[in-house]
Amino acid sequence: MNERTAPHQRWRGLLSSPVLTDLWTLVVPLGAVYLFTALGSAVSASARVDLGYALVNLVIVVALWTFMGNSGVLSFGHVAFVAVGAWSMSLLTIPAVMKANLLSGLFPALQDAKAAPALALLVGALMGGLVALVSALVLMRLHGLEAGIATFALLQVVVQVLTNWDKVGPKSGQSMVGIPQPFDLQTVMHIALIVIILAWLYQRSSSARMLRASRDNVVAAPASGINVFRHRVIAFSLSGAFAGVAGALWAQTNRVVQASQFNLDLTFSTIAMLVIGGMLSLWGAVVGTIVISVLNHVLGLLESGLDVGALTVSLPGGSRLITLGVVVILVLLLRPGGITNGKEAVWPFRRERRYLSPAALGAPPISSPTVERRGVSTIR
Amino acid sequence: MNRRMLEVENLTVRYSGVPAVDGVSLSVDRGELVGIIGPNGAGKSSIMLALANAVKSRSTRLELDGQSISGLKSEHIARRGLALVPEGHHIFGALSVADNLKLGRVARHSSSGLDEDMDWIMDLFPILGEFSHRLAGLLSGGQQQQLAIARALVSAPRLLALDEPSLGLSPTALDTVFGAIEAIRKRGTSVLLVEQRAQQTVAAATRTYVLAEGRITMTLSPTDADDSELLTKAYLGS
Amino acid sequence: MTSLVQSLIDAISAGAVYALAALGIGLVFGIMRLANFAHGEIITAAAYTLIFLWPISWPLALVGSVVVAVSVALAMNYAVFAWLRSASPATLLIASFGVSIVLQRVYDALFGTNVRAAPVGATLNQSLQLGPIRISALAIVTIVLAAILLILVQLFLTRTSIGLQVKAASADPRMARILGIRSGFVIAVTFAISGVLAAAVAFALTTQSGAVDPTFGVQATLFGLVGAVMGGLGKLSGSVVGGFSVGFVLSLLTSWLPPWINDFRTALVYVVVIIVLVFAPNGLLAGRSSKERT
Repeated sequence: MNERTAPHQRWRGLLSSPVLTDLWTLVVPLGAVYLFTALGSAVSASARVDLGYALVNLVIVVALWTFMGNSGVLSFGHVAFVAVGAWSMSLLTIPAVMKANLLSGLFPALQDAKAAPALALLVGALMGGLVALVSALVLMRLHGLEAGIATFALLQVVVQVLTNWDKVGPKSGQSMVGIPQPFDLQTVMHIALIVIILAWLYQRSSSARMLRASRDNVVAAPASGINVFRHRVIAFSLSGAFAGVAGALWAQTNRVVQASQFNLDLTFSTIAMLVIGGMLSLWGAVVGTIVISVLNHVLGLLESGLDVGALTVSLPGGSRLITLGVVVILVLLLRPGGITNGKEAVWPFRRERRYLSPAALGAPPISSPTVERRGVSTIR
Repeated sequence: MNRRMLEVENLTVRYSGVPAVDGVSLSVDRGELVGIIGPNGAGKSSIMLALANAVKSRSTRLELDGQSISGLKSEHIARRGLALVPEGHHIFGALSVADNLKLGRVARHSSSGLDEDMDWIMDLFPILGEFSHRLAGLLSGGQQQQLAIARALVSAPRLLALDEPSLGLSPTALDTVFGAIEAIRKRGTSVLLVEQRAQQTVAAATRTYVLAEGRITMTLSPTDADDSELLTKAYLGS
Repeated sequence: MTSLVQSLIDAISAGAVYALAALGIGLVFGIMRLANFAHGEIITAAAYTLIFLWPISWPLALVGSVVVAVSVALAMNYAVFAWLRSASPATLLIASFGVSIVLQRVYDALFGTNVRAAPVGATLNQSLQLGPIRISALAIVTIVLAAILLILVQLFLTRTSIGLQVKAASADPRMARILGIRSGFVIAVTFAISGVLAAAVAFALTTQSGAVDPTFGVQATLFGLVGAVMGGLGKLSGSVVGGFSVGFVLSLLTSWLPPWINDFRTALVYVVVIIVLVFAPNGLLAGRSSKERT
């Protein structure tokens, strides 16, 4: 830096430094979640309830993004890891007496197991990550449709096992009830924020960078010496851990856990939120979840009959999923990159890098020019 | 009856904002063989693809036999009588030779004269008659190229656009193909030929455009075919 | 011995149904790289038609179900998929997922979540006595129907001009267009055929169960899709074999597994699916094709 640089130029330099540009991509999502929670909890009691579920969805969607957004590979199976996390949380926190009554056939180790809520959450994350790791070792050479089908098959297997195996859960078809709710809304939000920070840190890791290289060019990456398999396994396992956290949060928010909750509808909802926000960016994951959660809340109000001025507007039940489906289709038709078009939050003072092509201007340091334009279509 | 078969004015093709073809104008008269030569990456294939609207392009005029084909979908351009044989052997490997040829009929404007045309095509490329029931994917490169050209001819096109038919061909196959091109022209079909074999093209064509970096740099006539200095200059870009 | 023959025939019949489902999915995938999750909703629409019209007049029900199935398939094409023709397979898959969810909810809103019942094809629900063996008439009819439809589709693809165009457009869409093949028309024809196949699946399944609900077609589609992917989406014969295998194995497992495993039979099938996909990602029947690993 030239010592004779004028003071205002030095300020300019500071303001447009890459550090700030990068941090901005973290600050904005965190801020948005914080605002969303603060505003939502002030609106009404029913909004607070929906907010709890929205935050759980947020963690799932961030988990999805961690894998799908960085690798470009479809996964229809992440809800399996959510289930594993929910199971862990339930088994570890349901009061002993209830457990003895409801879940009588468990393995002795599981029957007696007990943990403080925070620990149970971590166990949920660990179990989610572990199951994901094992699955990844088997599945991660696949991509495209085969990956979608294989991960979907994985979901079915896990859910079937959890439904029917009464040594790890309730008897076939029954629910686990009486799950305590140790985390209040604030705490859940903080946990979600931590997950976002972790996902953001992962995004900047060299493993994620190499994975993104393979996303954009699946043939060139291995030729450059990138071990695509290894990085996919890492991403998948990490996202499984995040999903496990979401599952634990789901258990304590819903207080009732049943295998049938982890189904195609939840899979679709979360993928839809990610697609609508923009599959390729963390900001997209956050935006999509917030937008859809707000929409869901409003539709929920309309479904139960809302007074708008002099009219009572009432929608039939099921409108929420129909609307979500229609919105996803519209987004795919009109703006496949999603609301954010795959970009992270852009720092307003970034320096113009004239040596880069026009297409790269405005692109965050992490993504590549081809990615912005094609959005979802770089997913294979 | 229109003398001009193909009229292209100010054609531009861009890939990611970069012009591969930059304001090219050319024409082909009825019954003419017109060539386009130039170094790799000059934009020759892009011109051909743009004619068939297989890539997006802009032009002030794009007319086939007096009628504008600008903005028409590829399938309609084919049915108007422009048959493109793109670079590479784009035959359907899983179908038989006969089935590949049958597909040529789709763009044909009327089935009258089909039998005579088929006879003539089989005379041009006898090997296809021999292998009529073989899977096209099992043919050699040269044979596949012949099939691709034959398939285009089945549609009785007004303009045949060939993109580097000589690529990867053995000398015998080359003779067959270039002989066929001459026969095709004699029969009345206009031909636009993109080629790497500069001398052969310049000698055979009424007019040969030289393309470099997306622009036409000069136009050669058959008398220039022996001027090797001129040809080299054309290739390396003037 | 007799029960073995009976369960074999049942298994072949189940395989036939899923083969038809897989073929419907495979045809559409071939022509536009769309793995149509919403194929099940076409089946469901045909099933509702059968259920509602059968008490009135069974020929009307049969014809009506085909008409409805083809209409729903074409509607899906023109309303959604036609606009996504150049999108990636993953985008198309998610879009079809969306269409599927929307339609399920629509059926829900129109007809209610509870099942609607009618004695569709009741005459076929009896057994025929062939010596010591009791064979379900429905199973025989299903197998015959599937065989006829498969042969018809094969003839269509190889002997008709449009069928040839479908094959060409599936192999190389750009070249097909350059040759003058009307891709929009060809895609629509393919969707229509998949509609007919869906109606056949609906007939077989409603005769068996006598009832329909909004999620009626989901299972057949999932297994059909799985079978098609396992068999190798590149070749139609792969889809047929894959779909057949899934149905066949599932049926045998249902008949023969001891009860304590039977709950997990679907899981078992999915484990097999994973194994097949991992060891033969191009599908069981596809040769060493150009599909990249990793």
